[in-house]
Amino acid sequence: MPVIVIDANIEGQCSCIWMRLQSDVWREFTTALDVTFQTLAEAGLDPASSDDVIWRFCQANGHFLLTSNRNQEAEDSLETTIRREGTATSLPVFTLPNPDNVYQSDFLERVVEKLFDYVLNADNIRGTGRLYLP
Amino acid sequence: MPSTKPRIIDIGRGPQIEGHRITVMDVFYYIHRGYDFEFIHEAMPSLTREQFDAVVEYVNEHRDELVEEDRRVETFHQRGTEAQHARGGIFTETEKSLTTEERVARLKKKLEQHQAGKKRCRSS
Repeated sequence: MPVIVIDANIEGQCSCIWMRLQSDVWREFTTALDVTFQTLAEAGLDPASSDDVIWRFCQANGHFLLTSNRNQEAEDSLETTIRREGTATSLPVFTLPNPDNVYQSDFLERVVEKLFDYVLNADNIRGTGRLYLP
Repeated sequence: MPSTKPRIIDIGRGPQIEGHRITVMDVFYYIHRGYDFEFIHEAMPSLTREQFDAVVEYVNEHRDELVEEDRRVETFHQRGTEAQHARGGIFTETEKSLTTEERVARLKKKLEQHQAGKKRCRSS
């Protein structure tokens, strides 16, 4: 079952995305692929966890992380962690660089389609580090 | 009586709200683009008004460096996005002009191929 862990900075947008995944239009894919969203707390993580802890947790449990993370160079930042610890088999981090666009319906549809596309190709996107949506 | 005012700290990820994962840059993204607390709170429901006010105070004291950092992050993501799209295949940008029906039909084909592939794997 593909689990997508939702970062704290994007919970509102992910509620929108999840509602769309559950709509009549897209539910068939959500069900067929058994996609689930989990907040950090639902995944069993402390919502104050650092980037490296969350990244390692997702890798250890085979989960994708969905974030709009905007820290790039600090020692424990997500970007530094991906560069330092990522391997050819690591699962990517899905990134929404402009999260406010999710509230536009056209953009949301593109995000949903791309998200399913990535999940369908889960084995072909390992080792890519960060993957942008849409 | 000890103060309960949220603090902005740096423990290796840049400035962030103490006891919370949300960083100043996460919130500044919205402030810099003119969004108000109500909008930001909808995006980050766990962000309290007091935490937001602490970020605003920090922003007022460090605006120039945050604007510069935001610009660098935008450039970083822009370059990353372009590099990803240039790889082609699944990594290309999702077309903007398609209808939802066209997207669903396209994905349905991919799902059928995916399921057929899994079936072949199981039977071999």
